[in-house]
Amino acid sequence: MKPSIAASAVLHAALLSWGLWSFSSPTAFDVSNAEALPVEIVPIEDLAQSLVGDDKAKLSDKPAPKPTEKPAKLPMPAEHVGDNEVDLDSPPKPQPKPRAVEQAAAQKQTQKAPDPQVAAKDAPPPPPPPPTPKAEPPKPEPAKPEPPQPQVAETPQPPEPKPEVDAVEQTIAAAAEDAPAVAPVPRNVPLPQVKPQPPKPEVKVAEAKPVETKPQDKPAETRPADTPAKTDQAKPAEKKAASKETKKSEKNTETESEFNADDIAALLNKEKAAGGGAKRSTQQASLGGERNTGTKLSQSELGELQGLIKKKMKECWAAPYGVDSTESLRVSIHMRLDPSGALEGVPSIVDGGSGSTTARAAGDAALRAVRRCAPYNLPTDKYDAWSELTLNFDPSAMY
Amino acid sequence: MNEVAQSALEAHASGVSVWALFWQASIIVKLVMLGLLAASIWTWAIIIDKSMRYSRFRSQLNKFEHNFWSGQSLEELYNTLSERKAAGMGALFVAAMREWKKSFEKGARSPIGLQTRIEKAMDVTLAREMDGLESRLGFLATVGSAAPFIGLFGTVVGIMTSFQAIAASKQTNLAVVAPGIAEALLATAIGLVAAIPAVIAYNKLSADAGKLGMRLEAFADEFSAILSRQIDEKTAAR
Repeated sequence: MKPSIAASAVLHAALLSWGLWSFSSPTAFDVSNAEALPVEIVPIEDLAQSLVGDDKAKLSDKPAPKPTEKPAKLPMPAEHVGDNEVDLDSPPKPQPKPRAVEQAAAQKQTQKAPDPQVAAKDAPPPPPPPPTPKAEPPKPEPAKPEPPQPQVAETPQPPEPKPEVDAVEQTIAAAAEDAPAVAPVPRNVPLPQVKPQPPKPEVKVAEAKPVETKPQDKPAETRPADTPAKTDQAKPAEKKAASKETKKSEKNTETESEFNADDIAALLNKEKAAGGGAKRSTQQASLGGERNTGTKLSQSELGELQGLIKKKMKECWAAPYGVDSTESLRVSIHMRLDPSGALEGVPSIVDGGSGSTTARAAGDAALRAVRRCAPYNLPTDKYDAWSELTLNFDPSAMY
Repeated sequence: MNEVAQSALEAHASGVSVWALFWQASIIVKLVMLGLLAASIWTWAIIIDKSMRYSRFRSQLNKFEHNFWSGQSLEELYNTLSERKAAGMGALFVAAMREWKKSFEKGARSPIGLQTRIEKAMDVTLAREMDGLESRLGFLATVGSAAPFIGLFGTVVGIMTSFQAIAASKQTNLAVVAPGIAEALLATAIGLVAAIPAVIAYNKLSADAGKLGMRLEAFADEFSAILSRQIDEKTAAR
């Protein structure tokens, strides 16, 4: 028996050693050949809710729009990103090349543009004085296109435009402080705002004309230009005279110039409609949309907003009653709100409110409720969340 | 928690060889594996021993039958066989001849009693020989039937502990789960490795033993018939 036990043990030892050796390292499955489909889970928020950024940039941690070209800070707070002087809601779009003919005029107007706004913002009375200073800018500008002209006396004026603006403001302020007798006169004449611009068309006409003719016209205008300079230094009393003079000159110009299509162009707001805002950005652009479309609300914020709307609606909505509850009188109403909380456009029934007379009555009641509640006092900082609302009116849930 | 999971992961990832699986196993599973290994060694020892003994036994039977039917006188055959320790048919023959000689040397009267005594002596020898032939075959039968269950027990315990480890590490990654289960399955594999040869060998060896026993019984009957005739002839001659 012993030899057989020894033989068996040896056999097992041999088998085990062979087994351990051959099974010691099972080859790992070769999974490299398998075609791997890269699956990315994209939350819908990325598409539905975007922050301001560049659609061609890579996604970075910090949302940032395209760096703007003019990094200078503006005096006023701006919310929308862009190179514009004025903060506009519309996203910036590439500027089409202006036509050659209008270029000169456009340049002038853009330079002047701040003036009317400043004037408009400050006070209604000021408008009259501006005419006189506004009459000035045309002169320096013509000077630029006509360097060969011998009007050396006028050329020094071009650097002045800004001081002139100040002068205008000063005069405005002075006029406001001064005798109200002066003010009424301009109020009666809202035209002056229009009149100051006519000089520009004249300039254009003059440009079209032989160059030498202009200098003759301008000297007549230069007088008013000189007078404001005096008014700056001199006292309001002189301003009256100056304004009278300007009026006269305006009358002259009016008589000289008949209807000109450019007048209308001059009246138009030359700010680009799609110029973007005035908020400056120097940060590296990040992937995003043209504007913020998604304001993520926390559950409590959402609840607060819903509660506000619900409360408001309960006050305004007279639910139709006295109808059998078998019929569903559920009405969904879609409405848009502007940042002030007022209705924008016409609220529309999305669902329900049609069919039987009671259903239509319910729909009308809901529409009435939406209109009656109209200025909604909702938190402005979450405007993105409530700019578009769909409200569900359900009488069965009411009672 | 994370560190624990990480270390468990590394420990599992360190080895997937059979040896590593064995060392990672819990003490119960290790004992089961070692017991099954010992059973396998003993099974194979029995298989080797029995097959060698049966072949030797068969050759002895053939040789003895050749001598027995060669026309050699029973006395001479008895003298040659009784000198050494005979096995199988030789043992039967020697036992019968010894009883025969004792009875005739002392002058037994009853031929019927002598016949009975000779048959008894041969039966006892036959039983002893059969016992020797079939010894330890029962162990093969036991291993063949019980080893899979023992291996399964090791597997169940191993899977149980590995699931407990998974629950503790809170990771369901297949790389974490797999080594524990592979380790547990190793126990069943060893059980099957021990059981399969045991079952086959038991069937084969018991059949062989049955054949050899049949041959011995046939010889015993034949020899008993020869002796009975001899007794009748001797009593008639008297």
